[in-house]
Amino acid sequence: MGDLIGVAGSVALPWLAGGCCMLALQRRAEQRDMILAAGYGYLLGALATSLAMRALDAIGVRWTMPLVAMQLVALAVVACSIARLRSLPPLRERWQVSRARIADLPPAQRLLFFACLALIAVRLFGLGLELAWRPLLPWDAWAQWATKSRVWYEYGKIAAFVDPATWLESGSGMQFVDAHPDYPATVPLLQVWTALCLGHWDESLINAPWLAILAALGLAFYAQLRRIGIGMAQAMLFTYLLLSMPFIDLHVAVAGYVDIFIAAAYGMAAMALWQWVRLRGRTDAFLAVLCALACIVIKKEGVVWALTLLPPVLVAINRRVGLGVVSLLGVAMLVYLLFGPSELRVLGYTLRTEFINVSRPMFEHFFEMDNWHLLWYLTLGVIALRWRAVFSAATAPMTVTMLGAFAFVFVVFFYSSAAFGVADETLVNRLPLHMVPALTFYLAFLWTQAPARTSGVQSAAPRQAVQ
Amino acid sequence: MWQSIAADASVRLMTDRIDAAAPAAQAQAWIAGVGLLVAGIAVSVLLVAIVHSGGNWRGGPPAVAVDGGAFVLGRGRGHRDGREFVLEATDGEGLAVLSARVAPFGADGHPRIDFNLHSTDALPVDLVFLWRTEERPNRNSSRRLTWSGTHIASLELGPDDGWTGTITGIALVARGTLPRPLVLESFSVPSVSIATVIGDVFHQWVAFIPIVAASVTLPFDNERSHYATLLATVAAGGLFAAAFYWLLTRRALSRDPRILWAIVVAGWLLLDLRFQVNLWRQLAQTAATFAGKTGEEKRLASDDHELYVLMKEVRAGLPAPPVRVHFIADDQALRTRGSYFLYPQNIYYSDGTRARKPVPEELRSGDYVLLFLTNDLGYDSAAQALVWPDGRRKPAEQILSRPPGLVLVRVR
Repeated sequence: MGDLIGVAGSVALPWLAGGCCMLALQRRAEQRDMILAAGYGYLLGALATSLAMRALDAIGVRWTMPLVAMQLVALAVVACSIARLRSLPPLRERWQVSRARIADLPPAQRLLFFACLALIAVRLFGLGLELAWRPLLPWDAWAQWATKSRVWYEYGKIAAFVDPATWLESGSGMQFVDAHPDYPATVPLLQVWTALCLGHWDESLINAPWLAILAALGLAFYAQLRRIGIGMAQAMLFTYLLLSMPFIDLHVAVAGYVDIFIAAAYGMAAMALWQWVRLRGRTDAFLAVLCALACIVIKKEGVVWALTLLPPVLVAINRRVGLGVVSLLGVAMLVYLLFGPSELRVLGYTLRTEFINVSRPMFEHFFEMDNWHLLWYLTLGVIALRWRAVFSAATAPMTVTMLGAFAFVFVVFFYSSAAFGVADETLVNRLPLHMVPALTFYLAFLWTQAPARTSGVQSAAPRQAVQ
Repeated sequence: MWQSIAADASVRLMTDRIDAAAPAAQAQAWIAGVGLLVAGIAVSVLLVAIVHSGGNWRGGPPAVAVDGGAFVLGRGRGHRDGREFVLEATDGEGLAVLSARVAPFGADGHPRIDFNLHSTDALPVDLVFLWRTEERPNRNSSRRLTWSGTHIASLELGPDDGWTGTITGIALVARGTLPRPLVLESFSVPSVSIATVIGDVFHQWVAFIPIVAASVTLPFDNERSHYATLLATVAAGGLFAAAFYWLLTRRALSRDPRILWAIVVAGWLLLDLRFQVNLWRQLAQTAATFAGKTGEEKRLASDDHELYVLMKEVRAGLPAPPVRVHFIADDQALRTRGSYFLYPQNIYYSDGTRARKPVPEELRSGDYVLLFLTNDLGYDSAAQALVWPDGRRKPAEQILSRPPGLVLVRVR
């Protein structure tokens, strides 16, 4: 029971603080979207938690649960005062409005909505149990991530992790070694925070943030779909499609890798950016920047993912200029790959100009094995059916974002030292995972929003497609 | 301050109207879509069955099965164990050969062979299947076998491989060094008719895929040996269904996109149903193994509990953390996993497949050195010194010794 309270607190407190920050960002009361706040709230709260722990570490104070919790509560209070919240949000009223909306749906729509919601709930519940019972299993989890959290939890501070040569030279008792000492601290800090809330080190329950980030991603995804005008039932269906992808779920069931966090952060950043493109709201721009920063502090590759969010800004400001610049960038990349230096070290990868064909494992994992259900078939199908719309004014920034993401995966897979990881299949799904939430949103937008110009398929009612 | 309707209420109102605008015929559209998908999948499975059975509509020829115990050792070392054969080691040339005579059978009606080998994981040896035919008794044909997870993938053979005529003898060749014994349970050549392939296809689809450490990178590795994976079949079935719908409605003024949606969503649900059931089956196993246990008990219930127990003894031999411990093992997995069990002590181990061992000058007084199944660095207990292959030494006192191959020492 104590563990249950500890885990609940470790998730709820950052979520609350982040949710309040979201409400502060949506300052105008009429802007406030509770589901959106809940979705983005956990990611912001998790970031805030890691910053709070870094702050204590910086001033040399040993971590304790109350000290970190106090900072989160203080953040929540400040955020609420900025948001001018003097009372609890009228949740009951909101709930009634939502119920009324659902009641207004035709029976088949209602059935679809609740069926998808139930499937999501069943999935999350099962994953939660799997996560709670199973000790750390996969290699990287205990070779480079939980190593840090285990040590930091023990000593109540961030102890340095160094490369083996430095360790051997220094002779320091408080410099540690693991498989990747240079990896960012954010997610290990969340594991430490969970252990602080539990009051002891628990190899299973320290992974509670993995379930929380998946749930948060689902909420944010649903809320953003609703904001672009997709109906409740369709939005819930798309959310189910995202959350049911096996590779995403397995990263929660066999928790310990941080890929699901970067997938959530990049997905949320892209969705916020695309909302900014539509509405030019400062809140969306700020959210996009925050989530992009989250990518950077979660994993080293996050820098490149964040960079893929810049070209669409240019396209949004001036489509012709933006697309021209993007084309030039593409050509420059191609020229580099054809004529550049044979090797270049970037972010731990060795970029090569020699083409390494790893298309076979990619095909197997995307189109033969059930890692992603029908996602990649749908990607081809939707693009084929909506190809005329992909560079329309509304869609071009989104398309450019996804082109950047695909280019990143393509270069890493076919022109870098990571090709070995693709050939031996350790990397073939993990890097694409980072872009899958954004891609799913893009496909949903393209399918439901963009006008279909293909003959034969009814173009007048794309939004009614699943009714 | 709070308003009951959110800012994008206008958008929502619009979309809710769209939600509400569902035509009454939607159930029919869904039924039609699902029906088309089912038909498409049926056609796909039938095509797969025809291809893999060589078009045998009725029952194929009798199946052939050879127990492992019926194999004879030609080279290497091993022994019979009941109906199995335990191959212990290859010979000095790194070769082991097991052969068996079989009642002659026609290759044409038996396009698939299965070696049932028992191992906890894929072994780093080359395994080759050899066969001989009545028509060419002095010539052996061969095909390399591949691991699929913990078992050998089925081999599909045809005339181009030399799998033709009447098969009279078979053999299994292992090349390399066996790190642990390989147990051959049986060799089988199933009777392949269209019905048996269809049965096998469904059997493969519903087979349990356990969650293992590698699931975080390649969760559906077991699907590699399938005749046709469920995803590929659903995708092909969906394409057939969509094409059929397009053909049916080619003269219609408009088509109903809901039917295409129904095909996609039903296909997705089918895939997800299989995945969900697999998750439940895994959850039952996980619960039986770990539920209600403490962290310590979970570790003892894990596959690597022996290593954990050993490292627990090492931990007990160390003073309160943090002390510097050099973890030296030739095997990367052993030193990486073993080190994890020793945190929060200050563990040094080298990442990468080749262990980077410290030189004497890098060891400081008070450092601990854990030698675990390593060849390059030894401990001379009589002289109380660590010994390098080139003869260099460093005085160290022994703290713990667990044969075979584990010694914990403290550098003086």
